Amino acid sequence: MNEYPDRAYFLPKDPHWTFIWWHVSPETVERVGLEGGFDPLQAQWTLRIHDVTDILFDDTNSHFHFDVDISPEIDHWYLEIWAADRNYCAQAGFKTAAGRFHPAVTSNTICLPRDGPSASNEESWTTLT
Amino acid sequence: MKGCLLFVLNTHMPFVRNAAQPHSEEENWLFEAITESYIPLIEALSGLVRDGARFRITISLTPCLVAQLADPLLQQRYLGYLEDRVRLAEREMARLGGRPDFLRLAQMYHQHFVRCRRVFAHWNHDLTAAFAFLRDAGCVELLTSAATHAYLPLWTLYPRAARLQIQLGLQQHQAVFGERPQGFWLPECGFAPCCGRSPGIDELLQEEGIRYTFLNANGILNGHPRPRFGVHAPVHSPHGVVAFGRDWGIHDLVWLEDKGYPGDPCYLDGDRDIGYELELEQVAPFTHIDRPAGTGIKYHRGKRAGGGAYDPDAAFRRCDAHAQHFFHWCQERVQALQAWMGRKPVLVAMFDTEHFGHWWREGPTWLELVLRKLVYDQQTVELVTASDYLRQYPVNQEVTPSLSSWGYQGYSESWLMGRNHWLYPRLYRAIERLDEFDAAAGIAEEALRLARQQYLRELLLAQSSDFAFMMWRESSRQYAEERVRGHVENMEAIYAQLRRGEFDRAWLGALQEQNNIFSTQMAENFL
Repeated sequence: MNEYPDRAYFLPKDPHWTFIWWHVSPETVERVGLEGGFDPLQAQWTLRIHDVTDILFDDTNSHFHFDVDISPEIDHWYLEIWAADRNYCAQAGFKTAAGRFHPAVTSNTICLPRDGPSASNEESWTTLT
Repeated sequence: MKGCLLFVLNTHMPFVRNAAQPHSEEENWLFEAITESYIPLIEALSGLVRDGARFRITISLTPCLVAQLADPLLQQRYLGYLEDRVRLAEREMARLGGRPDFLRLAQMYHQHFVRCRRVFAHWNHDLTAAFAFLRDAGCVELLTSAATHAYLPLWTLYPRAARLQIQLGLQQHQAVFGERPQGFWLPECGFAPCCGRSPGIDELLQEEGIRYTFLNANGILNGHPRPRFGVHAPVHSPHGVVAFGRDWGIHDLVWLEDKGYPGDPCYLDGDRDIGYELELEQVAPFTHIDRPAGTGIKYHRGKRAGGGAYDPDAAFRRCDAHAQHFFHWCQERVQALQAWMGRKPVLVAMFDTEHFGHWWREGPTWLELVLRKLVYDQQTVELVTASDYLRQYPVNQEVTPSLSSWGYQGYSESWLMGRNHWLYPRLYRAIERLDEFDAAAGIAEEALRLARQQYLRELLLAQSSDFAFMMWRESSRQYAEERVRGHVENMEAIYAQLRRGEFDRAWLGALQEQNNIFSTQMAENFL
């Protein structure tokens, strides 16, 4: 089953560690380069992690993001994320020499669990029906 | 009564049936569990029922275990396994004639294997009937679980796959036990709340009418908002499923070798099996395996006692003392909690059934003694099931439980790490390809139905949490990798035939014979 479509799977392991797997076809690499006006062979493969807590992500509106440079030979990465109890998605793509990021594939959203008890002690009670 | 104790025994075995190879080590995992845990548990609980003891306990039976307990080939092979063990014990009695301390142990094993044969025959070789009897006696609440024990937090990305695991489990339980269970055992206690396009596991359970489940303590304690009573009262999830949390104090007492009861030096050393201590030619005629393998016969007490001959009478006395300790420990704990909470607390004791007998030989005896003491000797701790507790306390706090499991460090580490992460992209892709079966045209309907059913079986079997866990533990890692790769290759072959528009029915039939799980449910419900 080597014929993967373009995919990025983002999975939470625990409150701070995540796993990302991606596949970007050569055709998509070429298309992203053409559309962005850059040579993918000269660009840096990059993972961009977005904080998308409580928003509908449109590629541009994340609360913040950070980048991880990756080798074109690999297809997965274990990534530590400092802030637990937030929602994230990941993009695999290219960063050009000018610093512009061109995503090739976007992952699902993950919700990192809280790393301790909730600060909220508001209580509501329900009857099992 | 001041508080409640809720025992939940998770009874599970991955699908180890191998029609093509009798006497596999993996099928012996099932036979050892039957001999050392399931039959002793059935005997202990049946004895309590016979004596009129009004106890309550919860037992989850995973669908892949139920399928194997009801499988005629495995039932036949188990009889052969017992026959070999009876003969081995007889040979041991002859070999140890001059060593009374060890001879009595060989006699003890002989009696046990003969008794297992009698119990197995009593239930017509189908132990699911024994569990149904205990349920019908009003003492046991039965639960089901995900079809092949998939660790659901890693499958909700594809809700269809997670739903299939849950639905098949419920359908099989209905078919075998004649009722739809109110509760559901989440494999590995794996829970994840709703996130993005992934539904919460509570939502998936609620869709199927499930009222309650069980989580590891961190799933409740890190829930939002903070649960007022911690794990000592259940919580209502956003989708109305009630979640009970595991009590860590009980876990430590009953599970841990270093801090708890099982490591007592009086107890049997489970590692010293004669299958690994005698010469191969002395054992192989009985195991039919050409390398050292377990026999179930062990003669030595714990390492801390110097490893001498096991003394069953001393072990029983110690077991009784440990049961007494547990009994008082629970009484003190519920009294303290009740004073603080102003309602009856619930202590949830969750264990793998194999812990009692297979891993801790004296475990079934300990459990029986605890249940007897709680039923007859006190009025502080009430034995309940989740349904019993919810009848008394239907009002509970609304809390969204957190991602959690009862695995290493309380999250997903055991099933998602360097040695097993490769399986997820492969199986996710396999799930996506199900759509192509749905859309297939121009193929004979019967052939397509059989192919799709077998594809689903292969997918379900590959999803078993056990295989990823074995890769993590590096215990039977090669077997686990071969199993997952084999199921993936079978799916690839079926998919290739789908693309060609023509199925090899003889090959599919042979594959179905080998990996035959859920045949009834597949035929009735899926295509």
